Amino acid sequence: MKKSAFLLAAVMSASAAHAADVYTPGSKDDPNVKAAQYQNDEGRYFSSLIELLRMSSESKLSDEARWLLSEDYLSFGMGNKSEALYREIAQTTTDQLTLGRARLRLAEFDYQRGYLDEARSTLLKMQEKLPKQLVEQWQDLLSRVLMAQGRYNEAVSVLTNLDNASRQTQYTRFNLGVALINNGRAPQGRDLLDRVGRMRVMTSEDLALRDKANLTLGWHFLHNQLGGSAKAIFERVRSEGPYSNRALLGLGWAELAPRGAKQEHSSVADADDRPFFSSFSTLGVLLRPGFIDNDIFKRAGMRNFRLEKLGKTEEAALKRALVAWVTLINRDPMDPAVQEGWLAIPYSLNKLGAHTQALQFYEKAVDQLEANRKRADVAMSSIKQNLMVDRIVRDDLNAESGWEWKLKDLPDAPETYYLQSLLAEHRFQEALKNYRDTQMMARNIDGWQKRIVAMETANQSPERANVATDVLVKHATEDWTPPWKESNPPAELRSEEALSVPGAYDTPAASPTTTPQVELASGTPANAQGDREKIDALKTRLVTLQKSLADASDAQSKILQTLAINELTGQKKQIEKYLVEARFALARLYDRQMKGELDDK
Amino acid sequence: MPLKSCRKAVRVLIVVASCASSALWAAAPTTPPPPDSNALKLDQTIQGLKDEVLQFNRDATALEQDSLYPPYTRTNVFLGVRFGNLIVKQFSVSFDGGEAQKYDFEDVESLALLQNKNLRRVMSVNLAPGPHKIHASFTAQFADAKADAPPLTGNLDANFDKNYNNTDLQLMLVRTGFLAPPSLALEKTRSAR
Repeated sequence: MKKSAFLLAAVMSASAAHAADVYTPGSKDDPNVKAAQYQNDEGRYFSSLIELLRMSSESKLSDEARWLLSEDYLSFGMGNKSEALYREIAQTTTDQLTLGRARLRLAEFDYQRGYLDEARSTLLKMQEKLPKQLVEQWQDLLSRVLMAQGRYNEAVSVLTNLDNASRQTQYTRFNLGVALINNGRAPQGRDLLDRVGRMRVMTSEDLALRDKANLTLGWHFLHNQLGGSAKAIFERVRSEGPYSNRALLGLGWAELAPRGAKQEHSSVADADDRPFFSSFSTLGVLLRPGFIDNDIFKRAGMRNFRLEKLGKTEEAALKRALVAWVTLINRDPMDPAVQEGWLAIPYSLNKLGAHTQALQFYEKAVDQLEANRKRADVAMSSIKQNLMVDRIVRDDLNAESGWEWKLKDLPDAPETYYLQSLLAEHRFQEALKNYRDTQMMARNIDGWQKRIVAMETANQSPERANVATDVLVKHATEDWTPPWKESNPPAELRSEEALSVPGAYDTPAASPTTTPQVELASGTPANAQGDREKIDALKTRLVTLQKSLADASDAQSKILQTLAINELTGQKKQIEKYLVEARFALARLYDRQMKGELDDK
Repeated sequence: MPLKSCRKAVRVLIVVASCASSALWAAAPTTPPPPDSNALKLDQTIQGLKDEVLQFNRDATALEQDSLYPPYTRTNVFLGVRFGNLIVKQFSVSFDGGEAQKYDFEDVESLALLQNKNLRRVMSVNLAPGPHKIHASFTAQFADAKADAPPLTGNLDANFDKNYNNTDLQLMLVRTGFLAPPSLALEKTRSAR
C-alpha cells in the first residue's frame, strides 16, 4: 500500500514537471499577479505597482488584480489614483465590506495628509451602505476629521447618535471627552476623560492613552481653578512616560491653585473602569509622603525654611509643590515643562520667604535657560542642514512602503530632542513620507541609466541579430490557432461542373469590379517605434523625471525645514520668555537685597 | 535625555497621535489650524510625479524584459510555499548543471510567502527552446521550531521542456503526505494568448 502510494506520488510529481497549466494573463492564477501580491505583502508597493501596470498594459486585469492595484496605489501614497479605481470597482462589486474597508482607509489617508474636506465627504458618502462591522471605525474617523475642522458639536453627534458607547474604543471615548468639553458640555466630557484615565491597560500604548487622558483632564481642572481635583488626576500619571514631566509641572501648580469644589466621579462605571492594582509607578506613588527621599531638598541645595507670614496650609502646599518641581528639574532640560519647573521653584521659595535661596535658584535657572538657548541655536543650524531628516531617510533608504512607512528609529541629531512632539504629528510624518518617496524614486530613475545601457548592448549583440528564423517562426506560431480551426468551417473544394476539354474552355475569367488602390510608402514611417526609438524616448523621459524629482524633493525638504524651524522657534521664544522672567525676578531680588529688605526665614 | 527614551517616547506619541490633540492643555478651547495649502499643493504634484515615474518604470521594464530576456528564451522561476508556517531561509536554483543562483531570505520575505498563496519571482533566465534540467534546493525552518532545532533541507532534480514562448516554472514547497517533511515540486505554466 505504502509502495503504491509512493509510486503514485512519484508519477504525479514527474508529470507535474512536464504538464504546463495555462492561465489567463492578469487573472488570479497568473504567477505575475501572485508575485505582485507577494510584493504588496512584503511592503514593496512601488514594485508591486510596476508589475501590475505592466500586466495591465498587456491584458485586462481581473477584479482581484484591480483590488490589489488600488490598494498598492493608496499604500504608495497616491490617493487620487486609488480613489478613481475604487470608484470604478464600486460600480460592479458586491463585496460591500471590503469596499467599506477600502473607503475607510482612503478617508484615513485623506485625514492624515490634511485633505479634511475630502475625508469628510468620503465618510459621509459611505454612510448609506456602511456595513455594521465598520460602524465604530467610521464613527471614530469621522469624529477625528470633524474635530480637526473644529466642528466639535457635529463630532459629538456622530459619536453619540448611535447609542453604541459600549462598543467604542478608549481612543474614541477620549475623543468624545475632548469634543464634549470643547463643545461646552464640560461635566460629560470630564466624566469620559476620567473613565479613560482609569481604564485597564494591556499595552504601552494603552498606558500612554491613559496618561494623556489624565494629563488633559488634570490641566482642564487646573485652568478651571479646581486644584484639588487636578491634583488627584495628575497623580494617576506614570512617573516615567512621555507625559510625566508635564504632569509633574501641573501637580506642583495644582498644590497652589484653589482646591475648588469636589468633582463627582462617573456614575456609570464599568467593571473595567474600577481602579486596579498596577505594577507601574505613578506620580502619586512617587511623591507620596514618607516615600520621598528625605534628602531631596538637600540635593537641590535648599536649607530648611519656614515662613511666618503664610498660613500653615499655604506653606504646606508650597512645600508639596516644591517636591514635585524638584523632581521635575532633574529631568530632560530640553523639555519645556522642565524649563518652567526651573522658574516655578524660585517663585515658590520667594513666596515662602526663602529669598536668598530664591535668588540662587533664579541664577541657576538663568544658567540652565542660557544653556538651553545655545542648544536650541545648535539645533536650529542642524535643521537648516537637514541633518536629522537626511539621517532618518538614510536609515531606511530603499523602503518602498510609501504612505505605510513608519518611523522606526530616531537619529542622534541636536534637533531630535526638541522635535519629539512634532515628529509624531501627521503633518510632519506625511511630509517626511513624501520626501522619502521622492528620494527613493530619484534613486530608481538614476538606476535606470545603467539598465538602459545594458538594454542597448543586448539589442546590439550578435546573438540577438542571428536568431534562427525557425525559432522566430515557432515563437510566433507555437500558440497560434488558425482561424479556420476556431469558428470558420473548413474550406470545401468543388469541381467545376461546366469544364470543357482542355483547350476548349471558353468561360471568360471573372474580372474584378474595382482595381485595388495600392500606395507604396516612401521613406520611414513618422511614428516608427522600434526598440532604438523606444530607448531614446526613455532617455528623454529619464532626464525630465530626474529634474522634476529633484525639484519636488527640494520643495518637500523646505516644508519639513519650515515645520521644524517654526516648532523650534516657538520653543526658543518660550525659553527667552522664561529668561526675561527669571532676570526680572532676579533684578527685583537684587534690588531688595541692596535695600536690605531680604530677610530669610 | 537619553536617545533611547526619546525614541520610545516618539514611538508612543505616534500611536497616541491617532486620537484628538489635547487643545484642553491651553486655557480655552482652540480651533485647530487649517492644513497648510502649500503642503497639499506639493502633495498633489508628488502624486502626479509618482504616476509618471511608475509609467516610466512600466515602459522601461517591458522593454528591458524584451531586450534581456527575449520571449523565445525567457524562463521565469517562481518560488511558493504551500506548507503551513514554514520559514524559508535559503534557496538555490541551477539549470543544466550550471552555476547555482543562491538567495537568502529575510524574515519579512519568508512571511510574505506564507500569505495569500503568494509567489516570489526568484529569477528570469534565458534558455534555448528544448529539454532542460533544473536543480533546486532549500533550507527552511518551522516558525515555531526550537532555536537549536536542525534546519530542514531538501532538493529537487527535474526535467522540463522549454517551449518557444515565455515559460514560467513554479517551484512549490509542499507536503506530500501527512507528517511528511517539506519537499519541492515543479509546476510549469504558460500564459494563454
